[in-house]
Order: sequence, then C-alpha cells, then structure tokens
Amino acid sequence: MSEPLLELLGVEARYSAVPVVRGVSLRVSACEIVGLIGPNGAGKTTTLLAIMGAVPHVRGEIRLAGRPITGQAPERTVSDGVALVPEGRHIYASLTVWENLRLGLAGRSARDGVDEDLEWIHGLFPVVEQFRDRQAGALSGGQQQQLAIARALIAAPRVLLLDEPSLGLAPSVIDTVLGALTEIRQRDVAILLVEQRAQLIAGFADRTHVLNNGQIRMSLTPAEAKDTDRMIAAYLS
Amino acid sequence: MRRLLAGRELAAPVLLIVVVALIGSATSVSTQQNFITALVSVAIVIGLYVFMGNSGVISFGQISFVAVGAYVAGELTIPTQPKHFVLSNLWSVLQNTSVGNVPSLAIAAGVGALFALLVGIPLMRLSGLSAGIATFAVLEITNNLLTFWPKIAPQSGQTLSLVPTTTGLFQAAAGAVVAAVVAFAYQSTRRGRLLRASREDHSAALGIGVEVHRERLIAFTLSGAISGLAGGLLVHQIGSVTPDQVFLELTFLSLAMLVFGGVGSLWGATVGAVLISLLDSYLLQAENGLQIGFFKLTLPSGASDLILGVLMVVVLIVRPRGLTGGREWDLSLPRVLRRRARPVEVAEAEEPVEVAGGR
Amino acid sequence: MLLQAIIDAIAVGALYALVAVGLGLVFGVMRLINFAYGEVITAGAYSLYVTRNLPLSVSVVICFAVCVVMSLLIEEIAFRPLRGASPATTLVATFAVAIALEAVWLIAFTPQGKTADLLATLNQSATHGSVHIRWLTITELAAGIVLLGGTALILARTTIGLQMRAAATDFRAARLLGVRANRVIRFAFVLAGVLAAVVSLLLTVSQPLVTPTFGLDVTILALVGAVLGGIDRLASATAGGFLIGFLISFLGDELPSSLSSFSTSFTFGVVILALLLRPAGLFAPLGQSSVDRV
Repeated sequence: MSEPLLELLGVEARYSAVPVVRGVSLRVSACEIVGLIGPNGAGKTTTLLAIMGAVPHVRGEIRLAGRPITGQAPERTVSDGVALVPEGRHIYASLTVWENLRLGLAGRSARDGVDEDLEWIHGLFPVVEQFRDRQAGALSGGQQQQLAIARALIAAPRVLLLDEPSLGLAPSVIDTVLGALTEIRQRDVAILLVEQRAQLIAGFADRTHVLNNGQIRMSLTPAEAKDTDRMIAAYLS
Repeated sequence: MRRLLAGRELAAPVLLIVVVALIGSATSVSTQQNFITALVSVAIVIGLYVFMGNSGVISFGQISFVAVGAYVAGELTIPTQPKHFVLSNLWSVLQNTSVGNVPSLAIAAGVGALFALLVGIPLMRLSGLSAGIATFAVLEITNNLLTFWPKIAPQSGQTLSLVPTTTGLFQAAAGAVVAAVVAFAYQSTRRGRLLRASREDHSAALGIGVEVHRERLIAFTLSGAISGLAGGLLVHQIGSVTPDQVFLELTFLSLAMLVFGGVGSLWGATVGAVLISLLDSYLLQAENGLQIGFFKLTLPSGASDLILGVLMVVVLIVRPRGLTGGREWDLSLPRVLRRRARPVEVAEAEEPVEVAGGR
Repeated sequence: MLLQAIIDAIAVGALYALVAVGLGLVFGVMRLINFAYGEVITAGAYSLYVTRNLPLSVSVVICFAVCVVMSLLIEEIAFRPLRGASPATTLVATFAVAIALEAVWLIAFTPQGKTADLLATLNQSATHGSVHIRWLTITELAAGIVLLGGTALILARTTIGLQMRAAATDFRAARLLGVRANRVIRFAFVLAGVLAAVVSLLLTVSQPLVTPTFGLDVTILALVGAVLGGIDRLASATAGGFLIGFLISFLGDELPSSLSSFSTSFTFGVVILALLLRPAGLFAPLGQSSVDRV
C-alpha cells in the first residue's frame, strides 16, 4: 500500500533511567501485517506501549497517518484510531464478556456502524457472542484472547497492535486468531504484531523485524524467515 | 578514620540542632520558646522518622507514645504534695514516686518503648492502609484513656499542670541530639539496613530471610523510646499537658514536618521539623500581632493553619519527596581527602513508601 | 431500650455508609484517601446556614451545587497534581487541604460555628409508644437505601459506571482501551459531592451547630470503617462504614454509664481486632491476602 499508517522514527523509550527502546524505526501501512520478534527484554512490549503513550519518557517521532502522536495520552491515541491487545490480555475478569466489549466502545470515535462491526466481530469470534453474559474470568485462555481482540476491534481502529497473542494458546486457537488477523487486514487495518514465536510470525507477516536490546537488528521477509541461521544471528547480536 | 567517615551523615542534623540552639540563645526570652519548640519538634519528628522512614509503613500512632511519655514524665516530677491533692486517683506508683528531671526523661523513654513494644507485637503484621488505620486506632484509644481514666491522668481531660519547666534550650537541644544519634546509629546498623531493604521490596526482603515483622517491631520500639523522650521534653517545656495537645493536631503537624522535610532521611526529619516549627510559631505569633520592621502584622485567627496547609500542599506538589528528597546530607571533608562515598540514599525512582497492590 | 438503640444505630450506620461510599468511590479510581471529603460536607452545611433565609428547596439545591463544585475543585487543585505521588505524600497532602479548609471556615464563620436548622422538623417523632422513631431516622434510612441503591445502579447499568468499575480494577488497562481518565475521575468526585450534600443535610438535623470540624469527625470515622470493611471494593467499604456507625451509636447507647466515656476505646479496640483478624477487610473476599491490599 501507499503511505504508512503507522510510522516510528528513531523512537527511544525509557521508564526511569535506563532506555529500553534505543532508536527504533519502522512503518506499517494499511492492509499490512508487520511482525516484531526478539528475545525477552528486547523492548517489544515497550515499543507498543510507547505508541500508545503509556511510557513516561519517549523521544523520537511516532506518526499516525502522517500526524505526530508522540506523548499523547493513551485515551487520545485510542480515539485517534490505534488499539492495543495487551500482553496477557488484561481482561476484566469480574466483568462479563459483554461488559468487557462495551468498554472497548470507549475508544471508538465513529458513532455509527456499531451494529455492523459487532456482527463482523461475532463472525470472527463466535465465542464472544456465545458467552456474552458469562464472567470473563470464567473463559479459557484462548477465549479470553479472542475477547481481547474483539474488544480492540470494536473501537474501529485503523492500527491494531497485538502483544504476544499466541501466549499460552493451543494451536487450533492460534489458527483462529491468525485467520482473524488476515481478515482484519483486508479491512484496511495496519497490524503490528509482537510475538515470541519467531518462526510462526516470520512466516505469516508481510515483514518481520527482529528487535534486540532495544534496536532493530534485522528485517525479514517470509521467504527469508525460513533461514534459521540468520534468525539466530539476529537474536544473538 | 572509617568511624569518622561513617558518622558523616550525622553531622548535618546535629549541626542544625546546635545552630538552632545557638540562635535561640541570642534572642529574647519569649522568642526563645519558639526555638525550644523547634528542638522538641525535632525530637518528635525523629521519633516518627525512625519507624516510618525505615520501614516505609505509615503510622499515626507515634504521638500516643509522645503522649504517654509526656504524662509519665509530668506525673513523676510534679511535687508530691500538690500531686496528692490534684491527682488523687492516680495509681499509687505514679502517686508516690517522685523523680528528678533527667530520670523522668529516661523513664518516659522507657515507658514509651514498652508501650510501643506491646502495641507493636500484634500490629507490625499489618501493612499499608490497615497499619495506618490500626495505629490511628491506638492514637484514639490512648487519647480516650488519658482523658477519662483517672488512674493515669487528670479527670475528664483536665490539664496536668505544675510540671517543672526544666526544658530550656540546652535540654531541648541535648534531647534532640540524643534522638538524632540514636536514630542514626540504628539506621547504620545491619538491622536498620535490612529494614530499609524491606521497605523497597517487601517480598524480596522476605525472600532473603529478613524477618520483616521483627525488624519493624524493633524500629517501632525504638521509635516509641524516642517519642517518649520527646514527650518528656515537651511536658517539661510547657509545664503542663492536656490530651488534646498530644492528639490529632500534633499528629498532623509532625507527619507534615516529616513529609515536608523528606520521609526517607534523618536530615529530612530534622530540617522539616525545624523549618515548619519555626514557621508555625511565627504564624501563631502573627495571629496575635507581630512586629515586622515598621508595621504590625496581625493575621486572623486560624490563618496559620491555612498558610501551613497551603504551603504543605504546594511543596508536596512541587517536591513530592520533600525538601531533601529523602537523602542524607553528607557534610564531608573536601573530595581530595574523601574515599569513595557510601551513600545512605534511600530515594529511588519509584515509590519509597509501601503501597502493596499498586496500580 | 434495646430496640430503640438498634434502630438509632442502624440510622447512624446508614449515614456513615454514605460517607464511606463517597470515600470509596474516590479511592477506587484514584487509590487515595480523600481526607478533604469532610470539608465538602462542612461546606454543604455552611451553605445551608448562608441560605437559611431562602426557601427550603432553594437552600437544598444550593447545598448540592456547593458540594459538587467543592468536590470538583478539590480534585482539580489538590488531587490532579498529585496523581503519581506516593501514598504518604497524598495522605499528608489531602490532610493539609483539609486543615487549610478548616482554617478557612474558622476565619469566615468563627470558631463558635453557625446554626443551620433548616430541617429541624425532622427531629420530631414519627411514632407513638415506647419506641421513639424520629422522622430523621426514617429519612436517614430512606436516604441510605435510595442513594446506595442509586449508586449501585449507576455503576452497574451506565457506561460511565462501567468505566468507573474498570478504572477501579485496573486504571491503566482502562486508559489503554480509550476510557477517559479525567472524565471517570470527575464523575467519581461529582457522585461523592452529591452524597456529601445529602450527608450534610441529614447531619445538620441532629447537629444544627456547624463548626469548622463538622465534617471531619464523621469522615475520619467513616474512613476507619471503610478500611475496616475493605476500601478497595465499594460494597465492603460501605458495609464497613455502616458497621462503624452502628457500633459508635450502639455502644454509646448501650454501654453502662461507668464505661460510656470509653465508647471510643471500645469501638477502636474492635477496629484493631478486626484488622488483625482480617487485614484485607472484614468483608473482603475470602482468601485475599493483606499483601494484595493497598
């Protein structure tokens, strides 16, 4: 696609004194899935949180459709059209599935089209409709993950960020999730996907970046993803 | 040499105490009282600091140890003849014993420590908000008992008076210095440092085998001793005491002094106490008319609280960790003579005071 | 009269429960104790004095307005700048705000206090016979039920209520979903203000003399009760507030006269015991450890 929906330019992020992200540049366009992999502590989650405005000290530029959004309050970024599916899902266990979904509406700026979007979401993740009035905490991990994505989608985002969606999921559920992502992509959404399962994502995403020690060491196409040696080298660099 | 260097961080608080005493001695008799009050406040706040600063647990109960110390020291030094008349229902121990000035202070410290120990054994298990509320309950109970229990205090909250006013500048300064030295000695020991470790990270400390409950109890008891001593100094300064004088307002004031100065350090406790106390004294005087140069400033009654309250809020917004940022001040020899500094800094990037289950 | 004492105690409990809700709402979203809440109540009471010559309905409306505005002002001026600070700092800061405001009342309305006896008719008895129930008691109970029920409904059914519940559980996650922090916080303070107004109205009936410490005494006790019950959940905080109010009133009535001046000690003795037995809160879910609590 044409210009990127999401752009990071030399982004540095830190919580206190030590920088976690040390100069990351990447771009995601609509209808694209970009993967971000790397070892633990590489700064993947922090990168996503920095985009959302949830990291106290961020330098560099983050642009949404050309407009800088660096340093904005998270709620503003959400209503501008960026949604996050956080690591560990962060579902409100004591609220019902439907209430969790309703919370996602808080970030939606488009007043209308809620019913259509809901229908589409129910199509992607039938469990969300099925367990509407169940306490979210009673759902299985896979079901919670689907709820988390559904919740992000109801905000009608232009950019979708996912942090380790496959964590703790059975392979069949992972397939559902990845399938859903493919469908979501078709709707002109730009997707940035952080994952631990390097092979899985590298083969799936349009482009995958390897993050290590706060910096991007390498970028891989799906074809190059088969090259395990390169990947290991990137992880160890 | 090492001993000398280790005492570096004690120098600043002690120096300040001495300076305050010296300045006080050069002023008029009436103004001197403000300086004495400042020094007694230092002792009170250090008592508070020894527990709160090291453990990170908020306690509203330390003033009850000050109260107990004040009443014990007061009752034991009132001349026996009037005591039999005025306080006829006191326990015979208090009724019949009469001690000198310094012994009364020592006993006040001892009773304060004992009280703290008894209270602390059950209470030190608690943390955070429940600890705060439980210690507040202790404060309330102590106040209630001191008001209405004739065996330990005058009837119905009447003033305990006729206490010899032996706390002048010297005694107040000496008491404050003792408090500072004891507090510093404690925080320099391994025990003190272990407790501070638990303040940073409760679970980690437990993990390395620190018996947090016991360490807190020790700090709490020590705090009781210092607070008791401060109470003795207080009652001997004013010559009388009522339950209200050692209750909510003093609790707020001492807490404010500590937080203003910086909860995490002895220097913070000292600075906060001196500055706020002097300010409070002058503001109170201004309510009665204060001569400033050519004109007389008369604040409306209650304005001192207003100004102090606003000042407190402003300072906390601007410097949430207090004036000193919770650090000790190292008044050392010039760098050339100094070996590598061993900081006693407790300030760190995140929350210093315990908040279990934060956001 | 045991029955009398119980009925009166329930009414007092309801009043304290309302204050506990006000404290709990703010604690839920901000994780801090609003010591200045008592000053909102005092402000409402003083406004009743100031408007005493106006028609009753106007006075009441103004009272609500004053309390809500006061509540929002406190949030804006004292709480907002302190949002990231440590518990000790915010504790002292809100206490300082309370002290400062008390001084304002002292200066503006004198230490002797002012009388606001607009609703004195509620002091009349509504029943005959040996059990003496004042209209006030009935009103307090009714107000308690209506307001507690209303708050529960708002939280359960409305969008903003849902957002508040989410924010109280995990504020960060809520913001990342697009929940507007300021809106949720302000709403909590508005609700708290409304509750404070009702409390100030009811309190002036039994205590027509409004002094600078009018609201503080109730707030401190309600706070103790809320923490006792478990301040991190609204339901347990409310129950705790009710319990404290009930205890204070009941013990005050039922203790033998030789011990009645020690009702404070008894009440707080119970508080300590309860905290030791269940540090997570008397009404907290079983199995919740004290380390998890704030």
